Amino acid sequence: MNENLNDAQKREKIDPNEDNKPLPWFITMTIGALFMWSATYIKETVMTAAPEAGDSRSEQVAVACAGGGLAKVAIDGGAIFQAKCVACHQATGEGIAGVFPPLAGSEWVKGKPEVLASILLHGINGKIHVKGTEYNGQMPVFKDLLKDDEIAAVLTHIRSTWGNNAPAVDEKLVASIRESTKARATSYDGDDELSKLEAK
Amino acid sequence: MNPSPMIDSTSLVLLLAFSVSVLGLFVFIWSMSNGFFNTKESGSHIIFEKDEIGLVEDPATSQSSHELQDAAGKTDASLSAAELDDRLIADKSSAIPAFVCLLASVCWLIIGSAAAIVSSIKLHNPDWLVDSAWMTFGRLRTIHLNSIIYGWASMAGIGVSLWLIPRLLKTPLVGAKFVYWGAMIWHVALMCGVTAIGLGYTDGMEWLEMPWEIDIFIVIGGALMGLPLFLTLMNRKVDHLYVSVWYIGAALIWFPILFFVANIPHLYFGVQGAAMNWWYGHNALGLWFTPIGLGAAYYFIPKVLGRPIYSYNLSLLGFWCLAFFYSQVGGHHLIGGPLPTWMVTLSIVQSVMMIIPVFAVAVNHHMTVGGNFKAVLHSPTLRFIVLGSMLYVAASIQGSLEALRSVNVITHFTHYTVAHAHLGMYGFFTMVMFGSIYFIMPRIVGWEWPHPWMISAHFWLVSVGFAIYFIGLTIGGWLQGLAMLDASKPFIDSVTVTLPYLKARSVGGSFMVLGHIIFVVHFFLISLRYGSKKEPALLIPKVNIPFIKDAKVAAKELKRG
Amino acid sequence: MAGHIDEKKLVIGALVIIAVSSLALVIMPYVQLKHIEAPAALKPYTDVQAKGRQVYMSLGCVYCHSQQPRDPKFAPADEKRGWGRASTAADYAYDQVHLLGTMRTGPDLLNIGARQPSQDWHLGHLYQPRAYMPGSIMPAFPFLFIERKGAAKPGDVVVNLPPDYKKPGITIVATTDAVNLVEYLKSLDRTYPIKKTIAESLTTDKPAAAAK
Repeated sequence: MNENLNDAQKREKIDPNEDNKPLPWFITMTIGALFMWSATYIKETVMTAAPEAGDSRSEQVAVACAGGGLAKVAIDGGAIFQAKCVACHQATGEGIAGVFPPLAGSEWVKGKPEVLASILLHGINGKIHVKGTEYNGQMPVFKDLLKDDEIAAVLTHIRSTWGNNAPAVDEKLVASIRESTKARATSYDGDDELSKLEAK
Repeated sequence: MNPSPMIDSTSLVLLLAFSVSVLGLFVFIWSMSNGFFNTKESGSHIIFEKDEIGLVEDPATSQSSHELQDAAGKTDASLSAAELDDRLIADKSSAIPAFVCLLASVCWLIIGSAAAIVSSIKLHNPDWLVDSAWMTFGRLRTIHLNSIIYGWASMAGIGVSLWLIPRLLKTPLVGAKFVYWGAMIWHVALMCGVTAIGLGYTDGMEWLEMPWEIDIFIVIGGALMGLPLFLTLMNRKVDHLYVSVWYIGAALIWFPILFFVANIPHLYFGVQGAAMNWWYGHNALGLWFTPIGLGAAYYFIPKVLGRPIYSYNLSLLGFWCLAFFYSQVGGHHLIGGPLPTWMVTLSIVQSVMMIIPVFAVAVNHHMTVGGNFKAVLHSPTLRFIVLGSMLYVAASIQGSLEALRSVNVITHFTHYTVAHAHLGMYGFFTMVMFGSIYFIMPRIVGWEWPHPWMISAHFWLVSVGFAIYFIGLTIGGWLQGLAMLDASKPFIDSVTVTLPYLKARSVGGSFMVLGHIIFVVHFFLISLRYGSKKEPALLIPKVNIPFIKDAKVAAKELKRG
Repeated sequence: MAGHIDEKKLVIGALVIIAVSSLALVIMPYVQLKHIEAPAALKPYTDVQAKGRQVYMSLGCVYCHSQQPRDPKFAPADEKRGWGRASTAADYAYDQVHLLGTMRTGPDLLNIGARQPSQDWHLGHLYQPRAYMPGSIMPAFPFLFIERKGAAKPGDVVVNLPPDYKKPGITIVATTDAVNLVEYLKSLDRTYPIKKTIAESLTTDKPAAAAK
């Protein structure tokens, strides 16, 4: 007996090995079934879209990838508000105290549509009073992010929600403001500049 | 193009490629198990002396257990002097290299666990510890992942492999000094890598965050640690390579290739980088941790029970199918993403085909454990490893289902996936490593585990903790996915709904961390040969052990088989 | 021994398997997507945006935010939440390291610049997410900001906060990292129609220099 072996080693037995047993029949059946399923899955998966379109792309994307156009989607002011405005102005339209002004009951929202369209197109950078409170932040520029019809839709939405009750804004009005302020490169300087527009 | 084709051309090409490759795979497996061979001549259980068959090893041969000794005969008598010598030489050659790796691994386990529990709490207490950049969730979580993957799991895997290979080949480990150098380089690199992540230097891809300059040293260190295994293989004394050797040997070929290819800087672009990222990410699991975990389970389950593995053919099928199918599943991480449909579809199909190797392993292990299931109660090694193997099956089946587009659309991007990933890496791999370390350490240090209660406490803490973790996060993730798919609910609802489950995860996680602390303390105690030399650590000591079948009956069964 | 695996079969088999795997998931996508050109509407990152992208990576934003809206037929909510149309390979032409992400603990950000162009909002939200989004579990990033005693100095980017989150006598000023990060977030906009992106990439045979 080799005295160098410790107890743990001594009490062990020989290292393991395998028996010879054929594959159980149910394993063979499983292989066959899975193979059939896989072949069917591949066959049933639609792969007409170009590889660069991405996985599970619907007909619309597939057509567009082949050079065709996208179907025009109906414009929804509420959806645009949810997508672009809600983080600051909040779903309640109340904004965030001291930081982002409210839209609900705002004199600017209910006021002249021309001014509102101008604000959306070019943004604000400076002090502005809303419902008697002063705000000092930046309203982003949306002229490159939203088209005329989208701006009209979202303005119509905010003018008719949360108790606001101002008339709808027309796409043509937005287009004309965009045209007349084409040269503008900076945002409006808050109250100072916007009050003059409102007073016009 | 045909206006209403039966099947579009990309699908046809993919179908053909898939069929041909799967067919090729089965012919390859068949050629090994059939064809040129000769089953009678197999050495499969010649080397089992008849007295040993049917005896449990790990807890059962306690010197004090007379009843067991009477039933089983003295274990020493069943081993020839030459065989004992082989074992002695093998264990002696691997003791220090394996110990170095295991010691390092348990240290990383503590670092990784600490980062994990803090990250977990941060998800429901987002204003906790926010003042330093390195403590932010995005970095701490990444420190957790890298410490666990490259510190704990890889090191434990290499340590266990270093110890197993000389035994399986009955050959002393050749080139142990490469391990010391390799482990040193690997650890300095890993410490630099984890520090770099804390400081905000990252390559940006999941599982590949460590800066590539540091990765060079990981590759060198890893290669040095792997080298002795190949040197030993080339100098081996045995002819037949046991199934564990295939798994471990192949893993050691795969991982360096994967890690090297994945870290080549400035080669990959845009979404193609994402495909590569998940080719690596899932292969690190499929071609590195899983084979090592299975290799260990394939050794310790029959070893502790003293029964040969049920079927060589099943082992063969399980191994090659795992290698082939698992290596192509990476694309299922990108379902619905901007990657080619054919690639994602291929990965989905291969994920489902994974049921074959999982089934093969499950049947093989189950038939081996056979009627001796109660042994799990007594042997610490078996308890962890059998649980690990069961969770391997669970994780794999879950993975196959999760890859289906209809399920993935809900679970993708949610905590459900996190729970699933931990079922694989923790429930399976880590459990198997715990069991292996409980077996190996007494052989390395020539000392018994000082406190069986610590093993018990470790087991119950991590098992119960992980159950809370997994069940909680699975439910939470599923609800999160459903809320996210329902556009009528605001996004924040998908966050709010997870909160109780994220808290449950922290509770379960704390149990797991506590279990790890007990385990690591015990590891240090045995390393320092603490206490007096004792009997083997039994979880239920000195009881009549009813689970051992009559040795003769078992031996007859095996002869017939 | 015949019929048993020897080491040559093992090594060759293992190498073949990893070669097949690389072919399917690395090489084929590389070949197919290499020629994709950036759409005209997508601009390369400016220096500041690129620095911001580094901050995004370094803070691990990707672990909670994906950048890959799915197709409306597959997962309709993605588009309905305003996360944008399903993205295509060309949308990532300038992303040397991809940031597709795998988690949506927070919302998808591929088009955050289009739906949230306000610098004020981003800065305040990074300083304290719960100030603007009650119930959010995003970490606060106070280390991206400087607490200045008294009034702001010229050139300071001041962060406005709601009264509950203000500290008396302290002005919160954004660091360069914070401003760069916000510039990157604001640049995330793939709302241009895909027709342009894919059609252009298909009609050109000039190989794209992807690894710039």
